[in-house]
Amino acid sequence: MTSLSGCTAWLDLLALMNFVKRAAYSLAARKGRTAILLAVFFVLCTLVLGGFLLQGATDRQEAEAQRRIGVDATVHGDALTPDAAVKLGTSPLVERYNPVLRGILRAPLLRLVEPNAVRPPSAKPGPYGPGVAGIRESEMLLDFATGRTKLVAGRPITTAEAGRKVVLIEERLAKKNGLAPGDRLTLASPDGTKKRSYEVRGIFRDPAPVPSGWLDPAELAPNQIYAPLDAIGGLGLGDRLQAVVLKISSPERAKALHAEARKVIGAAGFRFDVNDKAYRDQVRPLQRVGGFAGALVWLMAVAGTVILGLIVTLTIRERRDELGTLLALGEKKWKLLGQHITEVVVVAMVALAASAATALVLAQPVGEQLLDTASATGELPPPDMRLEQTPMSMTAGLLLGIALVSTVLPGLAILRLHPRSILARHD
Amino acid sequence: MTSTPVLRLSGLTHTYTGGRRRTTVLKDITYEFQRGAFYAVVGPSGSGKTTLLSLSSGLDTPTKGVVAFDGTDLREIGLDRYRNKHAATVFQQYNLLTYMTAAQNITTAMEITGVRTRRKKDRALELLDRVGLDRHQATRNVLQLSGGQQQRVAIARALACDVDILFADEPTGNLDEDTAKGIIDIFQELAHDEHKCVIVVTHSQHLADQADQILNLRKGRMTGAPRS
Repeated sequence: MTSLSGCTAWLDLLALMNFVKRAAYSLAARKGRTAILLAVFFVLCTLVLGGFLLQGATDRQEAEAQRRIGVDATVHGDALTPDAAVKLGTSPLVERYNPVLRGILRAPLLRLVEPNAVRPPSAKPGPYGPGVAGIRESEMLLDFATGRTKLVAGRPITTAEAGRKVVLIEERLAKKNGLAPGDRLTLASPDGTKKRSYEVRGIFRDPAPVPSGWLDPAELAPNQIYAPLDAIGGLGLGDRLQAVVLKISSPERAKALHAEARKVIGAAGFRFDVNDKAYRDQVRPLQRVGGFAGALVWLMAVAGTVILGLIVTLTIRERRDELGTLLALGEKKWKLLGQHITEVVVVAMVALAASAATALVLAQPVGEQLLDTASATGELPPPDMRLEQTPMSMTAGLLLGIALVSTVLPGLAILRLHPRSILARHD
Repeated sequence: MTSTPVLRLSGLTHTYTGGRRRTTVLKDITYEFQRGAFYAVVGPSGSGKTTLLSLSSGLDTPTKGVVAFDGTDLREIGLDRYRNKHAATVFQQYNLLTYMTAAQNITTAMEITGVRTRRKKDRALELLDRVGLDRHQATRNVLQLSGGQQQRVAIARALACDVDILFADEPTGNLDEDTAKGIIDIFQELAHDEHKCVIVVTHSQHLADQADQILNLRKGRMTGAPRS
């Protein structure tokens, strides 16, 4: 008895879904029409998905660029202490921060790179020491961030090195002293009374040449040494920072940060500079590519909807007789629309599946070309083209929308008539 | 012949409007059709035969008057339901589903009209065989069949729906004499053995002569008493 009722229910369901069967017959029999529809959907899906992929990759690269480059807001001021720098640096507006304490130390055993000219009598006599900067993160220094200065050996100074006695030295200084990462050097206070040993953590290359004239060796690019801020404390450089560099994700946050600095440091006695050149150089082109990808998606969506809408509309008009015949047999109108929607949706979904792979293949070189051009400094990783659920769902939703609009509207226009009127042209 | 009226036309008038022009093609037709009878509607072209058939079969609604099935106005039953459960039409132009085979056309009609049989395909082949189409022809796309063969598929489709009234518009127009005779025999069997009402619109005097009743239409009016 149960199996009989189950069988009846199954038959009822089959009868209810008979339009799906008709859709299958129609798709199989009208191979040419199905192929044309598939081809159009495929091209549309590929372009739309490609646009979404490019947009997604651009968004990721933009986020990465913002994380890496961001906008540097630099606060200078006499009242700028390490504590004030920490207060500003830990503000929710700030992504990362880098306090900078500059000074000249002595390095008794280090042979400095010398100027290319003889010291003029008016210049300060030796002994000379290297220029030292106490920092928090070397990668946040503008020259490192833009790639002008590059680490050629060892590791950068990061927040993990806080308080550790490590330094970064320039390639020419390292060469002159036969130093490599892991070797040690000694820095002393300007009066020579305090000495500390530091491990060379990394070696960087600064492209700035040694000028032809005289310059204090502490100011020469090869003689610059970077160390964690805490590691040079107590060597007589004082506790007044030259600056703190605050990384914010976009220029729009600078105003709020300025207000924050005013609160922390006081209304007077500080200078607030915003340097968004690197941001503009790298992020704005990415935003343009993102905008292009977004425009591409919309253009394709609108053009595709119109083209596919017309094709499907014409197809339905061609199939007036079929609609009339099925209506004459007493078929329900929603099932007639259901059949046409099923046909279009099946083709659209096959096209979507096929275009997913194609879009990935096509979007990768196009994306690389566009985004590499956009991020001209090459500081960013290659674009990461990923097919995620969202663009697939959005494309599928778009296709479903096209299928519904292009099928239901002309379908309803025909189905509001009596079968006799639909079939009338035969009489 | 039984006297149960299966279909009643009361004061049926129908007017087509094309722009400013109005053409009345049926004028005040009143008639009762009985179960178990085979009717032929005859008349010259433009006399309103096909319109009469359309209104009677629920394909259109009359401008004026009532069509009633088993005493109930079709508007109450619902035209869709009437066409689905009680009336089937064989069209002059066959109106087959051109992306299907002959057998699929018939099984599809059975699915739409809710005919309860577990072996629809076997039933379709049986009906096609009854109208003279073999298994090979049954599995061919209908567009690969001749006009006469398509006509027979259309008749088999109407038979498959197991309805109370079968309407047919020039059902033998494309058939050779032998096949036409076979189709007329089927109509007679349906009326006399299966107690259906069969209403055929035709120009064929031979077909009309086989009917139990002949209705004559001229300029939208029934002329003279129906001839038995």
